[in-house]
Amino acid sequence: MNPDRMQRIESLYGETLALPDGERKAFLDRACGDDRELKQELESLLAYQEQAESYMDRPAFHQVAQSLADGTGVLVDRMLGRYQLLSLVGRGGTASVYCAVDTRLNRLVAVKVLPAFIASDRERIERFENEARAVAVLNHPHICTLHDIGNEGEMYYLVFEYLVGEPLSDRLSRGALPLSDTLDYATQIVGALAYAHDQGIIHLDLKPSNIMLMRNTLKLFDFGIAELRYPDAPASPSVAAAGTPGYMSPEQMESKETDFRTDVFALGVVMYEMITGRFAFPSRGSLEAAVLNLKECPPPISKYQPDVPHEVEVLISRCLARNPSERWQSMSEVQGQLRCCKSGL
Amino acid sequence: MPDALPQDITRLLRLWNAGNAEALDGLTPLVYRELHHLAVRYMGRERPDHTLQATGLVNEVFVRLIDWQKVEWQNRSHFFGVSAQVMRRILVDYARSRLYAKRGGNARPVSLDDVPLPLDNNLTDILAVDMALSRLAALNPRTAQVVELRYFGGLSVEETAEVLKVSTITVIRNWNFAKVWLLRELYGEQKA
Repeated sequence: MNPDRMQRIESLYGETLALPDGERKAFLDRACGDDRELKQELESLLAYQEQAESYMDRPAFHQVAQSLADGTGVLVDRMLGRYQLLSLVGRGGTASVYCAVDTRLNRLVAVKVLPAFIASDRERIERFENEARAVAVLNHPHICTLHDIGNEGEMYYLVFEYLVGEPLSDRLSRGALPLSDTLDYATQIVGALAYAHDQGIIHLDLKPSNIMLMRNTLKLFDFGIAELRYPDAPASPSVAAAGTPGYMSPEQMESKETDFRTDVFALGVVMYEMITGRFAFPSRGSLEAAVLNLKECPPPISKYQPDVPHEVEVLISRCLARNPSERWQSMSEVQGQLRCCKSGL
Repeated sequence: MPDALPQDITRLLRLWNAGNAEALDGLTPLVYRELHHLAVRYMGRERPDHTLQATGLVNEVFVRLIDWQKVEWQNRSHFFGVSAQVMRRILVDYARSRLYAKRGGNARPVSLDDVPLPLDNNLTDILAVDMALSRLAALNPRTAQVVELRYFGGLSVEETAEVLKVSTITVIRNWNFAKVWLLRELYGEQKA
């Protein structure tokens, strides 16, 4: 391509763009005549117009600065306290997770490194430490144990029991689970939640990616620590309540008070997904979409699994009631219903 | 490092513009320090979705760094242009060094300063834009210059127009076309 041709393309592009959508095609037909290559060129560029609107809206300098701010970085081979980081095993929108070795006890641990910027907010650090202390009390076969927290300069981290297994989310990406597995997993999840609720701790972000399927057992992780849910948000109470859009309860989305019944709702969403292999709220891509769809009801389970037992449908639909007072009022109620479901198998 | 005085920066920019390559070595640490300042600000308050409208602000590095009083008025636009080039060089080098940094073999304590970045889309994007922009410059130098000034230099539309001595409408058109062209250049194959 030569510069003259490029000039022509650029000016035609500008003219096309100035027209309303409906007139563009006719304009291009007219302007390009039988130069089909020119027309193709313009059409292929137009396909990027929408994406281009927000492209490079921040100068390179800010992109680099932001990378620095986000950069919990690849810390492999480094020491954080007495933990030597061996490999990066996960990186969510939240924290980076490393497999590490505890050099004092010589065992494997999972180290979650929080984004560096939380260090700049005293209140957040305090809240984080308080929550971590509360969660550290939990000691249950189906809950991933929090061993330690610490910081190296501005880098705050949590040290968890290292779990070998497959997150439920990965399993679900291959499709629905058999009913018996669903009930078995649900029993373990509910057991863990009942125990935590007795200790006064609510998970608040129960979802398949926080459930690790291990050989013969499962464990829940990321319990009750707001920084693990939404660390890039300012420390306002409303956002502190936030979880993951697809699994959030209506009260979380509306920033109303949450309690243990918030976990009941999330349990319903997770069970729905285990049985049907589908998201209960597929349209909730983002928090905004989720809030817009607050009134949305998931399609009945029997639509996807016609032979689902009635007790199971009751269990799940009652978890998913919009109003917390219409849900199961405790995990032991859920446990009771689960027993009914199992006895019917 | 002691705080650099604005007149030093201005002098370094002049030297660099006059062909003194070493002046860049003096500018680079200053720019890095500003990067860290801004990063710390990002760590605190600003969220990605409502920041930095292009509000006629020059890239704050050079606003802070350059002693504009000392720059004669006629030279202002020339300096914008030079600083955009300098920023491009420094940022691209920076992105490259971060992305290709070799990991040290020995374990040692970390501090924020020496944490290498993860493979970062922002940084790969900077390198990709830099390369694609050189191709664009061969076909359409002015459109490419608009990108250099806006994206690497952080100039507003108005400032870019001032530097290039064209209308703001022209800058907007060039800018828009360049973005579409670059996007297709960078992501086109995957889409096809």
